[in-house]
Amino acid sequence: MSEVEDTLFENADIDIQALPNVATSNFNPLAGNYFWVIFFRANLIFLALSIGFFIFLLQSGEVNGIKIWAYLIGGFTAFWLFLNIFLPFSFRKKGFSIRERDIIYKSGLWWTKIIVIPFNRIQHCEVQQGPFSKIFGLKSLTVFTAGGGSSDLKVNGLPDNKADQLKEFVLTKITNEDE
Amino acid sequence: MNENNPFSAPSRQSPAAIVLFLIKFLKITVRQAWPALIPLLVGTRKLDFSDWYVYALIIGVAAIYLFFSIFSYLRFYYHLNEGEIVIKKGVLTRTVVNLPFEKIQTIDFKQNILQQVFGVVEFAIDSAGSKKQEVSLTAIPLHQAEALRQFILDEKKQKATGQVEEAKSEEAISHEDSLILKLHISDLFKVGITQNHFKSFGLMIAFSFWVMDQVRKITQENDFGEEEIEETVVNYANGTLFFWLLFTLFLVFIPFVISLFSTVFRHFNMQLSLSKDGLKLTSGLFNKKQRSTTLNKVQATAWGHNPLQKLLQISTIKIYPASSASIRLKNILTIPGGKEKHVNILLENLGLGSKDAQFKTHQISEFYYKRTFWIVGIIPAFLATVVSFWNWSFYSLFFCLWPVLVGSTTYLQYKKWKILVNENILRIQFGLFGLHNKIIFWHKIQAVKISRTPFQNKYGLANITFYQAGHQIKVPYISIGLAEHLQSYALYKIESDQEGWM
Repeated sequence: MSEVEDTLFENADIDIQALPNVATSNFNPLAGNYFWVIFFRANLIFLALSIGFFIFLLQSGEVNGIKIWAYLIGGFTAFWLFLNIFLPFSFRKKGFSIRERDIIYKSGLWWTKIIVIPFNRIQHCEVQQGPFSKIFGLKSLTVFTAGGGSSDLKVNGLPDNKADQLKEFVLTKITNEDE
Repeated sequence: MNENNPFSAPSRQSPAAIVLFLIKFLKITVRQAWPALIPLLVGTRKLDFSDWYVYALIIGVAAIYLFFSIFSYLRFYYHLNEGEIVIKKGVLTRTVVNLPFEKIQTIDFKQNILQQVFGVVEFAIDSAGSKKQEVSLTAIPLHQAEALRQFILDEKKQKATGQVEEAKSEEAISHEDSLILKLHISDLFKVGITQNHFKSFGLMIAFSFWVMDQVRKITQENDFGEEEIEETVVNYANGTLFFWLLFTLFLVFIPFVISLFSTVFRHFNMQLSLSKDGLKLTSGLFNKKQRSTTLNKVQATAWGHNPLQKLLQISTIKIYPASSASIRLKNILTIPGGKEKHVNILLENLGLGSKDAQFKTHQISEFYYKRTFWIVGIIPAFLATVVSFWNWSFYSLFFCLWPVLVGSTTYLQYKKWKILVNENILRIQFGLFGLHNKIIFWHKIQAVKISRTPFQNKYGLANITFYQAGHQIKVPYISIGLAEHLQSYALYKIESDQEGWM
């Protein structure tokens, strides 16, 4: 934990410095296969968009001259290369952690984000499998909080059985916490 | 768990669901694609119904819809498990939803005309989640739906019997409503004067346009030449300063009076009271309105004032109850024109102590305004000046005022930002010209997010967001150390919480 000039507040009943730190907890990486899901999805979308764009340009007939075409194709290739270099790095930054009383998900290479939901604030959870993930035998787990939307948390790229296990685990946690 | 659970085996809905799904898909398509569909039916590019491919297209689309409807039905299963309802669904993307009974807030039956024809109901479960995540069964035969609801409610009750008795004993203690605050007519006039009048100003402008339109129509009907009327108006206008004075007065004064009186009527006899059921806010002269929330459901409390309100020593008080995102705004209890003492009384009643309780104060980083000054102020202004210089020459130097505006406003905001912390409470202060406060219990938070931009990573800064049920508090540009302390402490308070948060 980085240095803080002074304490959070006086007369705390616990030592705040000694509380477990979220950022340094043990993060599980997502299943390696999931990279290919992201990879294929991103490339497919990119391919579809660029094909659409070029067909539109060809059909409109407004772009003339070999030079402009060279620039356009060069630009698209550069972006495509950048995308595929960026993806593995950003993939490595994704991870989740299950602690005794909460679940953590982090992501982001440059713009980082880390979200924590305690089990006793989870409303329900859901296991999903998209067509791509199905090929690789992966599932995703989403946990929902009350009021919905922005504070929900989704863990992608979990191996089939692990996703179901995790869901069972979270479910027992959230029903026990309520008593 | 009840041994004889009749719903333990996964079962499908009524086949009527196929038709209902089909109609739902059609509705979604039409709602989202109507701008694209209209030109196909009318206009220059409309479909020629003598061509065979048009029929092929229609049949193809219909086949896809039918396919999805049938498979949505075939692949939709629900059953009741140990203390929870489980739904498996999805044609391409398989989804499994588990909803524990304790999380269920209400169960509604809905029936549209088609559902009435088929004798089925939509079984809608509200779990205080986001709207699209609510659990709903589209077509369940009525008798089965009733059995299902009864079963779930019985199970839920069995689990909660302990809590019910506790609540009853509490009831006996405080039976009478106690009045927290009441707004008098004089307070309401203050509110009416100090509120934002832009809305009624806009209405007034719209009204003027409408009047002008009417006048034009009348003149056309009566065979006056349009020019004639315009000429008279123009002559009159040019001729007299009086006209313009009147016009300005009309535009400024009338909206003011309108919003003043609408405020007074709307909030007439406003009372906030505390009873065994929680807070109750009643108001209105013509339309009586009542809003209420249990104390437990209150997520955040806010109060604040703009400079005018400060002058008259009144603030706007807002109470945010837990609610799903879609109806959030409707649920907020808003009290305009509260006084210092009202704020204090309310906070005391909510167990939040007095307004001036002991807090440790933290500030946000000065990079907040410095960074905004560069990114939002200087850089865009520089680019705009350079680009527009060729056309507008020295007029484009006006863009240089933009950074001044951005810099000064964000500096003011930076000065106002404060994070006040004590053992049980998190309070923030912010504002531009006014000053606003938000106050929450640590244990009423349900998720914490720390996000950082590359810049913030470099300078050891972070943004932190505290999520509540239907409400959130975001604090920008604090040191990462402070952010992590706030996060750890919030988690500690939530995870050791015994009271519940809604």
